[in-house]
Amino acid sequence: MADDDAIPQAIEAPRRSRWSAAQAIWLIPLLAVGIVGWLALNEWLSSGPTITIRFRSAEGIEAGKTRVKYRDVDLGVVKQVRLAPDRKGVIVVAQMEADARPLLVRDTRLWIVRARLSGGEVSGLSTLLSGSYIGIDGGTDGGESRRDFEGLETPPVLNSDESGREFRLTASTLGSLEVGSPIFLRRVRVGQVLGTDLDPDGRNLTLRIFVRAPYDRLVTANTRFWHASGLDVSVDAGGVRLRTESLLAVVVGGISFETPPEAAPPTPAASGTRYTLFDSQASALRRPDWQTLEYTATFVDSVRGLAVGAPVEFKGFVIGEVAAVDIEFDPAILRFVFPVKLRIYRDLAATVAPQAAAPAARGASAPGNPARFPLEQLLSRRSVERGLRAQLRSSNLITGQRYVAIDFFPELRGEKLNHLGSGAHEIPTTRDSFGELEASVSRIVKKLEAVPFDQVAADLQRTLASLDRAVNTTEQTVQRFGAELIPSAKAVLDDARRTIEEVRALAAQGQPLPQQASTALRDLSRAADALRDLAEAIERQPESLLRGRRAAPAEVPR
Amino acid sequence: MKRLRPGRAGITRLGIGLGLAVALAGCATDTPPTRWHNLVAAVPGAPAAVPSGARTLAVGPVSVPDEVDRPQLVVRTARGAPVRLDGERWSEPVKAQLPRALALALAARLPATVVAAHDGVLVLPSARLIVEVQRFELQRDPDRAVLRAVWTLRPGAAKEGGPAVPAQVFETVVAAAGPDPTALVAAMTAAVDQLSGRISQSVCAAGPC
Amino acid sequence: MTTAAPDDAVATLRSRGLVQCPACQLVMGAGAAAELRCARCGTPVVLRTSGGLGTTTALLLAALVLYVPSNTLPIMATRSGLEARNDTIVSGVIELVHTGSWLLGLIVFVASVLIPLFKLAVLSYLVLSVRLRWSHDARGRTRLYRLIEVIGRWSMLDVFVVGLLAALVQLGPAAQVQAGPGVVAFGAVVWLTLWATRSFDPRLIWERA
Repeated sequence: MADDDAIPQAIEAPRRSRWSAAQAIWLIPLLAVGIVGWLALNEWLSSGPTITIRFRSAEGIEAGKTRVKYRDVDLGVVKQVRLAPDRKGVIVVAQMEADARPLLVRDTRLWIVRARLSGGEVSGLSTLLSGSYIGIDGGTDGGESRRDFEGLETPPVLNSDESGREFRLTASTLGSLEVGSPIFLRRVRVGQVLGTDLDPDGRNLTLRIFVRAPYDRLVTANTRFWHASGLDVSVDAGGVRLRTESLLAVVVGGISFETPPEAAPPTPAASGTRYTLFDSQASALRRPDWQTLEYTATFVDSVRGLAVGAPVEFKGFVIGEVAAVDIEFDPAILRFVFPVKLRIYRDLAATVAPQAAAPAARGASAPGNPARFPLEQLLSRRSVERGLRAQLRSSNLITGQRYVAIDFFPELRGEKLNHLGSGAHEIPTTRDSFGELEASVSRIVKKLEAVPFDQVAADLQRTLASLDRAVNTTEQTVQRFGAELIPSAKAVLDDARRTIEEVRALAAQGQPLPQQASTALRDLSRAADALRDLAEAIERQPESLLRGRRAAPAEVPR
Repeated sequence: MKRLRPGRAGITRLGIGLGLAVALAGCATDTPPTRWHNLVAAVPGAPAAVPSGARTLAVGPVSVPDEVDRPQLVVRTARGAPVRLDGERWSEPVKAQLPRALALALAARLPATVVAAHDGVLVLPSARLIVEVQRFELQRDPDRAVLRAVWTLRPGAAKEGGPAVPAQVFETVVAAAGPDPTALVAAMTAAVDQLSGRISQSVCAAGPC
Repeated sequence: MTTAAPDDAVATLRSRGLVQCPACQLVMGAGAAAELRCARCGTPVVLRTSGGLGTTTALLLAALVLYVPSNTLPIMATRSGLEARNDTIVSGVIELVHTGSWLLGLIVFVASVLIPLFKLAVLSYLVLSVRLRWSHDARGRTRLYRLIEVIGRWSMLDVFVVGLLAALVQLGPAAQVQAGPGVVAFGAVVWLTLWATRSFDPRLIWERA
C-alpha cells in the first residue's frame, strides 16, 4: 500500500447551493403528475354522454371503430354492439363527445350510412372504402335530451335544416315514383317525394312531397301536379306528341307541377295542402269542371276516331272538348245513335270590335270595358235556327283522329228539326264529310245509270268507220309526198354530218388549248424523268451528294 | 467550379465548324468532265431543200424503251449486262431525240412532204407515222448498235387522205467504228437513218412523196 | 480481487477517508466538503451521486406516473386506404400477433412492456431496499442494478421504430403513420428510468447494509 504522505489532497470545490440539484429534481415527478392529471381531466371533461341506438341489423358497425358523424364531423364512437333482448334487433352503444350533447334531443335521427342507391342518387360511396358510419341529424326539438334512440333503416330524405314546405298529393297510382323521386318545376328539380302511403280504403295513395325554398312560394292553391315519369307519348287530334321531363325522371320517375297563368291569386299555399296528382300534363292543365258547360251532340254516323278529350272547335277555334262518347238506341228511327257529351269552356268570350252605337251586343259588360260576347251564347236556339250544327271532321288522316266542329251551315238554315231532344243544351248534328262523300257518290252513280250506253256504242261504231276511211286517204297522200321529201332531207343530214366532223377536227389539233396542254404534259414528264434520274443517281452513289460524281473509267467497259 | 455545358454560342460554333468541314470535303474532289452526245448529227454544208408539196407527215407517237431513255449512255457488255456511262450523256432525252431525228431524216428523203414531229404544226396531216422501238442498244465485242422497231403509217385527218402502210418490222445492226462513245453514237444515228430509209421507201411506194 | 469479506472489515476508499477521481483515477484524501475536485485534472469528485437517493426516487416516481398514459394513450395512428386505427403498445402487439408477425410482436412486447416493467420494478425494489436499510443479498441487488443498467437502453427500440415509421410511411391517402401521444409518454418513461438508473449510486446498497 502506498504511503499516506504521497496521496495528494483533493481540492475543495466551492459549495453550491443544494437547492438547484437535489430539490429541483422533484419538479420532474411533479410535472409528470401534472401532465397525467391534466390528460385525465381533459379526457373526463370532453367525454360526452353514452347513447344507445336500436337498429334492425348491425351490418357495417364495428365496436371501437365505427364513428358517429354529423356533417362529417366525428362526434362519437361505437363502443359496443349487442343483440337486443327480444332478438329482433341490435343495440349499439356509442360514446359521444361533449359537444354532441345539444344534438341529442327527442327528434334526433340516427341511421347507418352505407353506399346506397335511392331516389336517383348514389350516396355514401366513400363508405365502401372507409367503412360505414352512423349519421346523425340533430333534432330541432329543444326539449329534454334523450339517450335511447331508434335508428332509421334508410337515411332521411331531408336534413332537418332544409327549409321548404310539405304538401300532400292524392294519386290513383304510384307509377314509378318512390321515396326520393324528384319534383320538377319547368324541368328544374325543386324538391322530392318524402313518403308514400296507401289510403286505408285502398283506392288512392297519398304522397308526401317536399318543395324546397324558395320554390315553395310558387305553389299556390291552383297549382297542378302531374306524373312526369317516363315518356309521355300521346296521339291526339294534333298529331303524335312525345314529352319527357328529364332523363332522371325517365329512370326514377318524377312529379312536375305548374301553376296555370289564368289562376288569379298568387298567394303561396300553406304547408300540408292537398292536391290531386294527374296522370299527364295535358290532363293536369285541363280546366276544372266548374268552368265548363255540358252540351250533347248526337251523331248518326260512325264516331270512329273520336276520342275523349278531342277538341271541339268553332271554325278552328277551340271552345271545348269531348267528355264522353255514348251509344243509344233510338226506337223512333230504329237506329243506333251516338250522343257525344261536349264540355264547352265557360269563360271563353269573343271581344266585340268597337263600333259607333252597338247596343245589341249581348252580355256587354259595364261601359268602359270592351264589349265581350261569351261563346256559350253562340250555342243557342237562335244559332241553331240559323244553321249551327255540330259535325265530325277528320283532324289527322294518318291516325284517323276526328274532332267535333261546330259551324254554321247556311244550306241548313231554317231546316225543320223534329227530333231535337228536350235538353236545352243540345246541338243538332249534320252528316260528316264521309257521309257527304257517300251521298255524292250515290248521286253520281245514279246519273251514270241514266246514260244510254247502247246508243252511244252504235254511234261510236259509225264514227270509227268513217275515221278509218279518212286515215286511208291520208296514207296515200303521205306516200306521194315521201318520194319528194326524203332525198332533200338526206342531203340536209349529210351536210350536217360533214359540218360536225369539220368542227371536231378543228377542235382536235392545232388549237392553242390542246397545244398548251400537251406542252405542259411534256414538261411535266420531263421533270418527272429528271427527278427519277436524280433519285437513281443518289441511290447508286449517295456519297455523290458530298463528294460529287466519281470519275468514269477512261475506256468503255467490255 | 464551373460546369461545362455547351451554351447557345457553343452549339452555333459547332454547327458552323461541321458545315465548313462538309463543304470542304465536298470541294476536295473534282467533278469529272461530262461529254454530251446527240443522235442528230451536226448538219454539214447547206441545209436540205425545202419541200413544196401539200402532203404532210406527222411523226409520232414514238415509243422508246425506258432502259435507253436515260441521261447517260447505256452500253451492254459482252456478257449482256447493261452499263451506264456516267461521263457520257445525251444532250436531250432519247424520247425527244428519236422523233426529231426520224423527222429530219425523212424530210431529207421525202422532198414533197412536210414532216413534223410535234402535233402542233400539222393540223390535219395526210399521214401519221407511229413507231414502237423495241430495241435500241449499244453492244461491245463487237462494237455495234442494234435497232429493232415496229412501225405503221396511217392516213391522217386530211381530206384527201394519205398513204397507209400496215405494221412493219424493221431490224438492223450497224457496226461501230470504234469502242469510244462517239463512234457508238454514230452507229446509232446510222441505224436511225436506215429506218427512215425503209419508211420513205414505203411512203413513196404508196403515193406521191 | 478479494472474495466476500465480513462487512465491517470491508476496505473501501471511503472507510480510509480517500476518494478516487473518476477521470484520471488519482487517489486523494477526501475533505469534509461534499463537493471536491481532483487535484490533478480538476474533474469534480463527488462522494455521493448528486442528490443521492432523492433524485432516484423522484425520477422513479415520475416514470411510474407517466407509465400509465404511455400504455393507455395510443402510440401510433396508422391509416391505410381501408382503415384507420390507433394503437397502444399492447394493442399493437396483439395486432402484430394477429396478423402473423408473432416474432415482431414478441420483440415489441419484450422491449416495450417487459423491460420497462422490469426496470421500474427493479428500481423500485432497489430504492426501497436502500431506504429501508435492508441488508440481505447485497450482491444480488448489485447484480440486478448492473442488469438494468445494461438493458435499459433497449426500451428505446420501440420509440425508434415508431419514429422511423412515422417519418417514412407518408404515402398520402394510401398509407399514413403518425406517432401518437403515447410515444412521448413512453419515451419519457424510458428516459426517466435511464436517468434514474444512472443517478442511483449502487454504493448505497453496500453502505446502508
